[in-house]
Amino acid sequence: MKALAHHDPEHIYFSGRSTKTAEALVAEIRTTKPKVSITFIEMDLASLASVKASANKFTHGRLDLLMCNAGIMATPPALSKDGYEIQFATNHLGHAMLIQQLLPVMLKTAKSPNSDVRIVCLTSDGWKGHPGKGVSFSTIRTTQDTFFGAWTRYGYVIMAIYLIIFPSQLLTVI
Amino acid sequence: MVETNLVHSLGRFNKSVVYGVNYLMGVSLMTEQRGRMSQLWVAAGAKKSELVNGAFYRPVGVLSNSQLDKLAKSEKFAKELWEWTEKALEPF
Repeated sequence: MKALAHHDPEHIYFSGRSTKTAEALVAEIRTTKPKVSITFIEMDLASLASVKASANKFTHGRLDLLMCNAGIMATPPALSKDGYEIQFATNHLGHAMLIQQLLPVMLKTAKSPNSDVRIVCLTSDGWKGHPGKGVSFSTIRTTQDTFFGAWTRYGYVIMAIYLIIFPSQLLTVI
Repeated sequence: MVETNLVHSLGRFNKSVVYGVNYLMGVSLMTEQRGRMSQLWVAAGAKKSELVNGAFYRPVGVLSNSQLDKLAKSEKFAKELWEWTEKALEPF
């Protein structure tokens, strides 16, 4: 974000769970870029209602770049607030909701002259660890607590993040 | 893999998995400084004409679709996941 702020964007929105950490980051950026225009939105990717509510706090009429950058890895077995395996919920479903909510404004922006609208999703080499079927939809509402489960669950998720990209014509990056 | 808190926050066992797998793949963990280059490149550094839509890039800015396995390239599975996801988001 520091690098992006350095190039004088019209406005940057960023999200996270901790307002305190966010304020510290903004303060740091302001030391070199005092006039940079930034809005922090509190968002918990593990709660779909939170993501939707937070995404609706985006009030600008255009959005040129969306970076889906957050994620967790190899965490202990748990369920999200919505009852999904926690890594799948955070890394895949949360971002899917965010993209879904912001897509209309991005499509609108893409129609303006000389636009260059991009969605960047970060994934990991961990996708190679996906089990045979890619995503286990039948157990996705459980904690999937099996041998080497933390990494198997991660494999499912990373596979999902990556694969969801194709139909929507988005860009992916590690 | 990039050495962020995603790795630092892991316990000893999972951390050794990260280092072990990276060793087997013949890659070393990247510093945060280098790790962020890829996302900045696809986001802002690369010109529109230099990018392939929906493609998979490895650091830094290397088009890597050829490294994908059969499932990762399966349009059938991609469609299934997409539709499943849309349905999952519906109640919210």
